[in-house]
Amino acid sequence: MPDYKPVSLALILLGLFGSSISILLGFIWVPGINPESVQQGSAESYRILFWHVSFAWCSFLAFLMLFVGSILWYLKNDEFGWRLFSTGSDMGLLFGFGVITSGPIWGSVAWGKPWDWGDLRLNSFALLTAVALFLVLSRKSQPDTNQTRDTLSIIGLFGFFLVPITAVATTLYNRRHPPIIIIEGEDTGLPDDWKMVLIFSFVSFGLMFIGISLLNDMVNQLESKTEKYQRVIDRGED
Amino acid sequence: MDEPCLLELEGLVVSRGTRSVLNDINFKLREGEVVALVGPNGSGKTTFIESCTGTIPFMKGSLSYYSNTNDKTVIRNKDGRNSNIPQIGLTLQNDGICGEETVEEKLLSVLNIDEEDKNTHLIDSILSDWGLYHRKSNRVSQLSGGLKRRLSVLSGLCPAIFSPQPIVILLDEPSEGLDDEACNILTNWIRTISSRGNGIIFTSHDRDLINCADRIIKLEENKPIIESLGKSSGTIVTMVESEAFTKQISAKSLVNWSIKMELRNPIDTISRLTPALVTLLVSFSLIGNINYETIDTQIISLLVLLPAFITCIISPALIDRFNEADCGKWWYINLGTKFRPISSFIGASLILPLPLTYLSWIILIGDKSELYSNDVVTWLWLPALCMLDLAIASSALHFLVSDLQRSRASSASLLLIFLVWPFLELSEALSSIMANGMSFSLELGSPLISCLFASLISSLVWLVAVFLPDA
Amino acid sequence: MNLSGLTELAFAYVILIGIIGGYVWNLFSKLDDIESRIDTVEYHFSNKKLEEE
Repeated sequence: MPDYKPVSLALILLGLFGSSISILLGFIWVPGINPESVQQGSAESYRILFWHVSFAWCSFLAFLMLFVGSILWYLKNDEFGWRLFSTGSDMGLLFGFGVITSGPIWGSVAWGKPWDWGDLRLNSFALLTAVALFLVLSRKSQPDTNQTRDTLSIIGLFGFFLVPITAVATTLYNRRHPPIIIIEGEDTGLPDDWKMVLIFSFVSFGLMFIGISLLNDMVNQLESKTEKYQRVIDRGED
Repeated sequence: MDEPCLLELEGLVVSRGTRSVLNDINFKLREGEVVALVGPNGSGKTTFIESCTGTIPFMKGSLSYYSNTNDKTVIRNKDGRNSNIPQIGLTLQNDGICGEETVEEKLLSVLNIDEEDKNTHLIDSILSDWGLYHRKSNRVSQLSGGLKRRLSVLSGLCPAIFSPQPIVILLDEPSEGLDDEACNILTNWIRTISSRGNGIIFTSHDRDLINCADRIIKLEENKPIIESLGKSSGTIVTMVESEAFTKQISAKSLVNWSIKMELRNPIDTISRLTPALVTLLVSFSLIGNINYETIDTQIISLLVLLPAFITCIISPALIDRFNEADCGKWWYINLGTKFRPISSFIGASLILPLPLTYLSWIILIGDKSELYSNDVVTWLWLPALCMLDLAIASSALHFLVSDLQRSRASSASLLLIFLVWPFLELSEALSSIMANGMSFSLELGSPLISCLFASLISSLVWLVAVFLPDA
Repeated sequence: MNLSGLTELAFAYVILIGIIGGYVWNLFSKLDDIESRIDTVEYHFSNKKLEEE
């Protein structure tokens, strides 16, 4: 198995450096918003957006990985599918947690309240992060058998089947409780300098995402390989 | 000429994690045949038995059962489960009996007969043969380990005695925990039952028991199976003769069984009721002294429905009953794909939401009801009834998680967050009734449509949790 | 600039960096742990081989 340790370390450090630069750019280069347009929280808090959006995009990639992995394992018992599933759930938890931590700060500025049961994206991410947390905890606490993998991949798929349900439910709820939009959404009408910092931040997060994913996969693979060898010793068949 | 075949495994490969436990197994069990599975610990004997029940996934190969007209039905192959197994006799390594049931009840549910059936006296005779008659009315939890094992083995053998046609009997380590006398009875019963055409597969380390087999299969990890002839030793004994009356275990047997268990020890009701009542009292102490006119009806409706919601999302006690000594596995093997949907219904809180919602209304609102529409008391049952869908969905989610080997070590509550939406929709419906009275309009936001959406969301959650695992 | 807003933001960034840093740290320490387990396994296998020779 190739040793990804130096490559992943380099990518993680590069990504961390780039994302720190994006914080700085957010503070010194991007113009602020009018404090009077903000009802709750501080006008400065909107700058969390430069990390919040990158976290959201990366966790979207992670959940996609989890979904593809779940399907591959559920339909074909494919070992590569399980690797995708394992890394996808770990990454989904890490980056999803980042989204729901930074989301309420952004929400306070954008909607005037930290959590909105009518916002599809926030709720879907929260639910998928909860599913990822469940999967990560269960993978660690359960014996690694095909039956465990089957059940967990079903729960992985379950998360995705329920995203459309979340969409319907939140849309219905949203119609009756329209959120108070104080500033424009993060994906519409953004000034160019905002967009540039967002893209820079996302590229940095992307490098970090690849680095951590490689490292994560390497750890998972080595763990199962070691377990295999240890089992051979247990049986005395070396 | 060869005896007709009862069961067949073709090219079977079963894996545990990354190692394959059973490799390219080809096996046929014929009528009247006794097969012993031997091999060291971890060699796959129990996996072999489980494969014959069609409940574990195959990497390759298939399991088929034959009918008495020699029609072959594929039960499972590598693509999943195709159909349920016919009636079998089954003894699991962990007994598969819940401590709450009595000795007699266990046999009645194995044979799927009512207590009023005229043939029940035959059970007394069988119990006497196995030295269990004096314990007939005792709960299984009161039996010693040895007696419990006797009952478990007897439950596996019983269906063959009363079956109208030859069936398959699967016994996992039947002699484990039995004394010499019981082992002797077991050996003779195996020979007698097989002489009536039934096919028996058992796993064992016990040399005397292995000697009673016609064929011995030695399993070793990553090695081809080795077959040899057995000694077929044992005596054919006199056994109750009956007009065949046993029926395949049905969904009704599981429903009756679970009701009986709950009536005997109502842990499900109590574990749901206690937190609901605590919530109700906390809500009352929080808003009791506040002027209700200043509180949004949405908040009041949330608080009124909260106790019912809490009873719905608590883990069913049925899961604990099923986890006891692999009792759920026993039901699952016997009921097949029907097991999951039925369990999600009988495990759900179906009785409490309605009375709790009315109680909650009386305690929280009481004499302040004139502030709200008169329709509330008349129509309060509607959101409470829709709460039942939510209860069934929640129960299905808990059952999905309980499939994990160490389900206690996993946090099912994380998946229950999905049920927040139906709950919000129901509180929306109640809030609308409180503010504007009952309306039969089909507009978005009307009570009927909100209730409909709540039920729809719950039903979708239920469908996904119940049908994906057995698909 | 609003100081309390900045403090809030800095606090959030520190938490987020902490989450990522902690996770990566945990991965590396896990890797060390696995490598030591592999050493033990290899030691066992090489001993076994010597015994056989």
